[in-house]
This record gives sequence, C-alpha cells and structure tokens, in this order.
Amino acid sequence: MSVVTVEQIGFRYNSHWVLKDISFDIRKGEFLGIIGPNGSGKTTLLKVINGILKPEEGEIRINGISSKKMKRAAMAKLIAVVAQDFHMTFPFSVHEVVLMGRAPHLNKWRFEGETDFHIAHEALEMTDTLHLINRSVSALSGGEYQRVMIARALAQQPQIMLLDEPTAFLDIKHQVDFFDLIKKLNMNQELTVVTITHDINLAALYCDRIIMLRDGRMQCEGNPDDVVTKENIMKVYETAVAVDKSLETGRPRITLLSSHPSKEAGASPALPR
Amino acid sequence: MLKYFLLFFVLLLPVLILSGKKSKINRVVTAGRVAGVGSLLLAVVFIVALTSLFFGSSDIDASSIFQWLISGGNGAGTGLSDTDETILFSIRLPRIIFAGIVGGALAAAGVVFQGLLRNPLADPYILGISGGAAVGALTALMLGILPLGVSGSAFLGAIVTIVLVYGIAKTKNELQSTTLLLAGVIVNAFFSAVIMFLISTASDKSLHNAMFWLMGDLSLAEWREIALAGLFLILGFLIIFTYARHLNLMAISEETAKQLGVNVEQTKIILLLAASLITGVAVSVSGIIGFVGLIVPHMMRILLGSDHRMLLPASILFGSSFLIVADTFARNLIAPAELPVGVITALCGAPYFIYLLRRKA
Repeated sequence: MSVVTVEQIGFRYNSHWVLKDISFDIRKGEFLGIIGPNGSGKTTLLKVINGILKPEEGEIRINGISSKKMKRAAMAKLIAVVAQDFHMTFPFSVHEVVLMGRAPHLNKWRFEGETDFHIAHEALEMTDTLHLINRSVSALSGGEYQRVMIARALAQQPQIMLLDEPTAFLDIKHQVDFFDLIKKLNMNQELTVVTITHDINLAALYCDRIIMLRDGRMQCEGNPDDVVTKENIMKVYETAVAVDKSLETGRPRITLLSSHPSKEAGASPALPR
Repeated sequence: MLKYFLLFFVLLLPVLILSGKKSKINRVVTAGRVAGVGSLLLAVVFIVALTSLFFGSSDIDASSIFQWLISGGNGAGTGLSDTDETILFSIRLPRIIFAGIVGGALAAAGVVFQGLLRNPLADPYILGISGGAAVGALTALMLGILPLGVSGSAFLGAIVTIVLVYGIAKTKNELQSTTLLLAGVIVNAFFSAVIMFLISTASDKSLHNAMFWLMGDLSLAEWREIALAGLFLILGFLIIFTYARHLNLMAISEETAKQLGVNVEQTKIILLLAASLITGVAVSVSGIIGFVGLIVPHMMRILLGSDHRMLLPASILFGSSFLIVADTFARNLIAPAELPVGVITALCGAPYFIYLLRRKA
C-alpha cells in the first residue's frame, strides 16, 4: 500500500528544470533510499514531497489526498524531517527542542500539556537521549544532536520520516548507530523512512529500495542489488567502482577505484637508513 | 544618595531572585511559570514606578508623597501644596508611565527582531526605522514647517522607512532575513547621511534639541502620546504573544518552522510589522534610546531561557523597570539640568551586560 504517490513531478528554479518527469510510490513501512550525485535534485525532491516547494508539474498525493489541498500543519502531522543543519543561534534546551515537535498538534495559544510532555519523554527514551534533557542543544556532540533531532521528529508522531543526509557530519560509529536506530523505528513502529545519502554502501545496507537520480530524472529504481551496479554508478556518477557482494551482510558493496592509487603497503621500498 | 541605591537595588532584585531560582531540572516554560515570573516582574515595575515618584528637581517632602500615595492621590491633609500635587501628577507621573511604556516597547521589538532575524546583535533600530524617524523629527525641529509636529513627522518618517525597507527586501514571494538586514543597514546609512546634513546646517538653538532627540528624550511626554504609545504596545504584545511559539521555531530556522507546520512568510510579515510599528511609535515619541532593546532581551534570555512565550512578557516588564530607573537618573543626576536617557542606558547597560555574560560563562 502506498502512503505517498509522486506523479509526473516537474520543478524548476527560474528556467532551469531541477526535477523532470518523476513518478514513484512510497510504500507504507518501507525504507527508501534516494541517491545521486550533487545537483541531481535529491534535496529538491524531498522538499517537494513535504510541500515546502510547490511542483510546477504533476502532483504529490499523501494517503490519497493531493498535497496542494493540505495545510502546512496537516502536512507536519504526517511528515517529519531530519536534515543536517547544525547551527542554533539561541540556546534552547533539548527538552524545549523536542517539545517543538508537538507544534503541528497545538493551536497558537496552547501551551504543551501532559500528553505532549509524555510523548516528548517517550521520544527521548526511544532515541536514548533522556539523560540530555536539560542540556542546551548548542552543547551537544554531532551524534547526540542528530539523535535529538530524531526525537523531535518522533514527537511529531509522523507516518513518514524524511532524512536529508542526516549522517553527513558523523563518524562511522555514529553513522551506524543513527541508521540502526532509524531501522529499529522503521521496523517496530511501522515508520516509513525516505533517506537521501551520499554513502552508497549505507544505502545498500539499510534500504529496501533505492531510487537513483541523475540530472533531475530518475535513472533507475529497485532493490539494492539491481540499482547498485558498476554500470549504473559509472553512468550516474561518472566514476569507476568495483561492486561485489559483502559476505557479512549479503548486500552489494562498492569499492572506490583511483587512477592514481598509492603504492601497495608491502611493495613500498624501504626508506634508506 | 541613599534612595538612588534603593532604586537600583529594586531593579536588580528580580534578576537576583530569578538567577537564584533557576533550577536545573525541568525548566520548560509552562503557563504557570510565565504567570509567576510575570507577576514578579510586574510587581517590580510598580515598586520602581512608585519609588521614582520621590525623585525630582523640586524638593517635595518624602513623607507627604507617601501619604499622598496611600490616600490614593488625594492631596487633602498631606501637607502637599497644589504646586507639589501638579508636579507629582502632571509632571513626574506621566513621565514615569511614559518611560515604562517606551522601555517595554523597545524590549518587545528587540525580542522579535533578534528571534526572527536569528541575530543576537539585532535591536529595534536594525531595520533603519530609527533613522527614518530621526530625519522626520529633525526636519520638524529645524524647519518647523511640518504641520504634524515633531512626533508626528518622526512617525511618518518611521512608516516611510518600514515601507521602503520591506519594499527593497521583498522578492517575488518571500522576504529573506539577510536581504532585510542588508536593506536596513543601507537605509540606515543613507538616513545617517541625511541626519549629518541636517545637523551641520542647523542653528545653535535647534542643535541642542536635535542632539537630545537623537540620544533619547522622554521629556516630550504628553498624555495623548502616552496613551497612543501604550495602546500600540498592548496591541503589539497581543499579536506577538499569539505567535510566540511560532517565533521559537523560526528562531531555530525558517526551514525548521516550515517543516513543523508554520506558515513562515505570513508569520514573518505579521511579526515584523508588529515589531516595526511598536518601534516606530516608541521612537517617534521619545527619540532614539539605545541599548534597552538590545540588552534587556539578552538579560532575560540568560535568566529565563530562549522560549519566547516567557521571553516576551519578561522583557517587556523588565524593559519598563529598566527605563523608568534610567530616566529617573537622567532627570536627577545633574539636576536641574537633564541628561539624555540614552546616555544612562548605555552607561549602566553595557557593564551590567558584560557582568551577566561573564557570569554565564
């Protein structure tokens, strides 16, 4: 069953078409990856899906309802976003930031009530950030910050979570921690996840399905085995890679190839003493 | 001398109480907490206002003023002469109320501009409203040909500036904060040049008035203007407070606010217009009083956190007390002459701010 239907989407900044003729379904409970080189339209596509940008052509339907007919607050109850912004001017506390996730559920005059505190508390627990509750967000490490952002997104109680390169600034431990957490929520809470990433190996490891964009068009879509191939990557990224199947995960894995590799460790000549 | 210290202590009191009370646990803003802090700060406004009635260049017996206050402004049997009563009721009281309103208005506008532009250095004058108002006021002061009077021309100047800056910054369907800031800076620079021109061609007599206006002058208070400024402040507060939770989201980023369901462009325009109008009115009736709109929001943020539902009312009330005290000093320190109140706000505001900043670190 599809939660989001993307139909014949076209979007342009001025005269430059950033997205053209994009159609696909996002199925309920799936983990969808969107990959493609810089400037291929990934982030624009995500913004069109959650209604921040209005498409020039085509339409987005969420649970069968056209996004044009949805108010921003209604959209925010269905879709949450975790991006990579890492700058706050004012020192809000973690608790305050997570409670902000309740915004679409409150009217202007209302303060957060017991229910909201309870939901925020649960979100903090799920993301293992409860101990940070009184810290200022500007005092968090990159990994902690992104977990707090997930907590805020969870407090929205969305059906769909959109991730825009959420692990771009994280080390490998925190990348894996982050996606393990998302995968857990994806499986246990039936949360539909759409993520943009530059890390093709991460996409292949976690996603049920991958869409590959090139110059604002869909190059291909399918399960990781079908999409992550030497040929597709050569065509889309214009980069030579080797692709094999990881013995440990059973997922496709790419290895970058350089035309100027460093000399093999064993073959390097010993320095004169 | 003692009463100066007393006044200053009363002003410091809420800061001491709030910084002492700030518990580490669960400091999320609730309606109850806003009401609590609000009533504390409101009480301080009243105490400060009443205390500052005792200050003035004409020597009125303190115990008589006290009796006059207790009897609810009834002069009979308190030993106050008619002149004394006129001084208290028609000179000191309106000026105190006026200072309170202007201080609150500047602090409110500062809160909005800082939050909305995500710029801790923003103050009510950042969009050039003060420059436009100053050109209007100085033109009226020096040429005396405008039928609107000084504050009327200043307000006209402020409105023209608001329209101008927003016109420059607005593109097809959005108002970008950075463009807005730049437009404000440019317009301000232009008006500064006009102000310099006006001043350099001014006669000696109008020069003194002009300088006073430029540094903030609360002696222009008349009941009509006070009522108008008060009305604008209350309306502005209601509008801004309605959008205070949205302002929290926008203070993080406009992208975040959009993702969390805020109609960003609409909210931004409403908040900016409300803050601009409040500033415009405040500047037109009192001149350019610096520092209040910059430091009061910062003080309250350090003490109470960044949530605008708390920050806005707290800043308005503390801004009121702050300017009442500053103006009391301004009109008494070198009595019978007066200092521009802007001199006082900057002189005591800056070190106080540094203290708060250091204490936090």
